[in-house]
Amino acid sequence: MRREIFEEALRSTIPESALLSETAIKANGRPNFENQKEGYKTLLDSGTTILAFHFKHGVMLAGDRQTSSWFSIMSQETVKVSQIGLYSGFMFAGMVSDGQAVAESLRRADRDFRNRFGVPLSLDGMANYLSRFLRIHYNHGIFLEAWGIIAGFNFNPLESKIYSVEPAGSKTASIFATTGSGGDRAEDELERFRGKIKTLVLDTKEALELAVRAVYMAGKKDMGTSDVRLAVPSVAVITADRGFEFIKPDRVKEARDRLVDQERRDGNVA
Amino acid sequence: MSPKTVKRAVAAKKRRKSGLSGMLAELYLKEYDAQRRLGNNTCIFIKVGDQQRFLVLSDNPPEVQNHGRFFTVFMGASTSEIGEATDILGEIKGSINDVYSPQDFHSTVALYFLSRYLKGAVEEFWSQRALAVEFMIFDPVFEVLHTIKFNGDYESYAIGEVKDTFILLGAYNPKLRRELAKDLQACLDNADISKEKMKELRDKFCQKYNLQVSALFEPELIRVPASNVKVSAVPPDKEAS
Repeated sequence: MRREIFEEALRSTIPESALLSETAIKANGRPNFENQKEGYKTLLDSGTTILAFHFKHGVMLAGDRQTSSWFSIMSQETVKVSQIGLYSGFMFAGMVSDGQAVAESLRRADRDFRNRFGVPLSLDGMANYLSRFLRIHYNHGIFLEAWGIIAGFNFNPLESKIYSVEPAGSKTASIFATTGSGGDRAEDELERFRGKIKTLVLDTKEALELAVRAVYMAGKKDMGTSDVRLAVPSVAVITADRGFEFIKPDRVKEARDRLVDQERRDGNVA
Repeated sequence: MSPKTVKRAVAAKKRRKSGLSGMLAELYLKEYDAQRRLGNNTCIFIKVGDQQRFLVLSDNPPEVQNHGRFFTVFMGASTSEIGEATDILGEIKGSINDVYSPQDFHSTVALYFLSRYLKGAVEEFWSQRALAVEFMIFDPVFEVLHTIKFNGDYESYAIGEVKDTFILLGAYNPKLRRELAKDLQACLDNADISKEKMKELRDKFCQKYNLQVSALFEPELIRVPASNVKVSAVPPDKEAS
């Protein structure tokens, strides 16, 4: 009985979102992280393919357009690439509401910093902030289901960077990053070009073709990723001189058509 | 502070403003006390043409800290207050590194937090005494010089636009201030801020006002790493597609 009273008291002090299941509170009063494993499983079942990699002029970000809920397709028009600051972009896989909250928090952090100190946040700063944000929530038993990729520029020294951040707060810098249910297939595709990505030799056209191809390969096998033939992927670039900008859909469409024609000629698609 | 000083401070303010309340009197006293203690301490930035120099005259060793992209020069009424200012600056830097990254520790960040702290030290009740320390923050990357007074007031100067002038911090002793201003103006009129001339000036004031410590240096001596551009700056649209 005493335990029940204690649990009730704890329940009233912990936000509702922390209590994912009836077994959320263990006997010792600490949050039970079993629920987080369930969350992880749910994420793996949900679908997305997002990716980012370096190219000659900066960073390219791409994502498929599908939002799914279990076995239903909710939308084929979602734009998963979003701008955070003038020189940074963010994408996420996982629960839409959590991802949007994280993105909004990042935007607010950058905006506040810029308004207060007159300079934008560096990408390292954003990644560290994001990592702390997720870590603090995780430690409080609030599992934000957002596997994020944050990419953009540091200013001193001026360099492009890509970080992938996980819900427990770990952050990893890499030359390319993919995540979501189709992330593995996209990663395989990018892995083939590792040398070129590393040496920054890909120009915009080549990088765009690679991005579309990676999303296409993911969509071929992954149920949660849209088929590029049905929904043109959203692609954005972040460059040192122009900042964040989306590549026009017509240009992406052309790259997509070239890829599909090639695949047809090779007999890979019907 | 002796009772005589307190009496004099309150009387001086009363002459200007009638109806001085207890709280306001405390504030004025704190300010007056800090000004009195900083009376013979001064930090000067002087610029003639492309030549620019910092000169610090003080009773205590001033602190010069290089933070990578900018540096801070500060002098105070006592070594313990300089030590406290060093701690605060370290704390600000640490907090920014912790939440964001070392890259985000800009001169404006230091300016903002230092100013707030100093203002709080004068105006808040938790503080018995104002922190008698004044700062100059020199930022060659953004080409700006910030000055922060002991009461949190700050001013920013665009270095490129500052021509043949000097910026003086501290020196609340009117006699010292007057003499310094006169001598510095003479330097500007003769367009001579050579090392020898500044040393001469320093020795004169150190001897006359019995100042123990001084520092004279050029901002160029403090190295700031150049930006390392790694990516090409060609816009993607201009690339042959």
